[in-house]
Amino acid sequence: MESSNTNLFELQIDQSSQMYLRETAKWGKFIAIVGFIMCCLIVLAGVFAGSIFAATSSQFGTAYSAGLGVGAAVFYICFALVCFFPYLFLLRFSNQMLAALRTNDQQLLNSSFRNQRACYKYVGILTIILLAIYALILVFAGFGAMVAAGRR
Amino acid sequence: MENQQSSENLFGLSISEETKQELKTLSTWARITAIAAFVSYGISLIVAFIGRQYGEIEPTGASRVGSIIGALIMLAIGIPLNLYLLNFAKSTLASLHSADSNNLEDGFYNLRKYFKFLGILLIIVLICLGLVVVFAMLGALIGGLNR
Repeated sequence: MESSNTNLFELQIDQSSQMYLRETAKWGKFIAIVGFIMCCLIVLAGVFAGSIFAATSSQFGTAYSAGLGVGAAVFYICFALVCFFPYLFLLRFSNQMLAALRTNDQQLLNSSFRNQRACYKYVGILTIILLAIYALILVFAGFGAMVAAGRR
Repeated sequence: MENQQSSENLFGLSISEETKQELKTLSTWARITAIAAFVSYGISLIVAFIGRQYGEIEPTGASRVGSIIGALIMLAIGIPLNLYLLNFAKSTLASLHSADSNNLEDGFYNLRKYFKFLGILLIIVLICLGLVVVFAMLGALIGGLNR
C-alpha cells in the first residue's frame, strides 16, 4: 500500500523520458564499445612501441632505444588502463538502463545511474587532476622565466 | 512481494529516494565535469594565443595559426557538447528540488543529445581514421610500385 502511495506522489519516468533514456543507453553502449576497441589499439601500440622505437632511434644505442621502448610501452598501457574505466562504467550504465527499461526494475535503474555517476566522477576528477598539473607547470614555468630574467 | 512487484510494473519506473540521491550526485558530477571541460578549453585557447612567447624558440606564424585553429575547433565542438551536459545537470537538479517532471524530461532530453553528439562525433572521427588508413595504404602501394 505504502509502495503504491509513494509511486503515486513520486516523480515518474514517463514514456518520453524512457525513450530519451533508451536512446542515451544505446549511444552509450556504442561509445563504450568503440572506446574498448580504442583501448585495445592503444595497448597494441604500447606492445609494439618497443620495436618501433628500437627501429627509429638505433643511432643513440641499443640500451637507450630499449629503455625508450619500455618507457613508451608502459606509458601507452597505463594510458589505456586510465581510459578503460570510464568506458566500463558507461557500458554498465547502458546495459543496466536498457534492462531496467525493459523489465521496469527500479534496482537496475538505480544501479545504472550509479554507474553513470561513477563515470562522470572519474572523468571529472581526472580533468581536475590534469588541470592542476597544468596549473603547476604554468606556475613553475613562470617562476623559471622570472629566475632566468633576474639572472640576465 | 508479488503485489509490490506488480505495482512497480503497473506504475512503471519512478524516482525513489535512492534514485533521487543517485541523480543528485550524478548531476553534481556532470556539472563539475562540464565546468572543468570549459576551463580546459579556455586554457587551451589562451595557450594557443600566448603560449611559448617567452620560450627560447619563438613559434613561427604558421604553427601559431595552426594551434589557434586547433583550439578553436576544440572549442566549437566542446562548448555545445558540454552545454548539453550542463543543461542536463541543471534541469535534473531543478526537477529534484521542485519535483517537476517537465524539468526531469528536459534533463534526460539533454543527456540524450549529449550522448548522440558524442556518438556522431565518434563516427566522424572513425571515418576520418579509416580514410587516413586507406590513403596511407594507397600511398605506400603507389610508392612501392614507383620503385
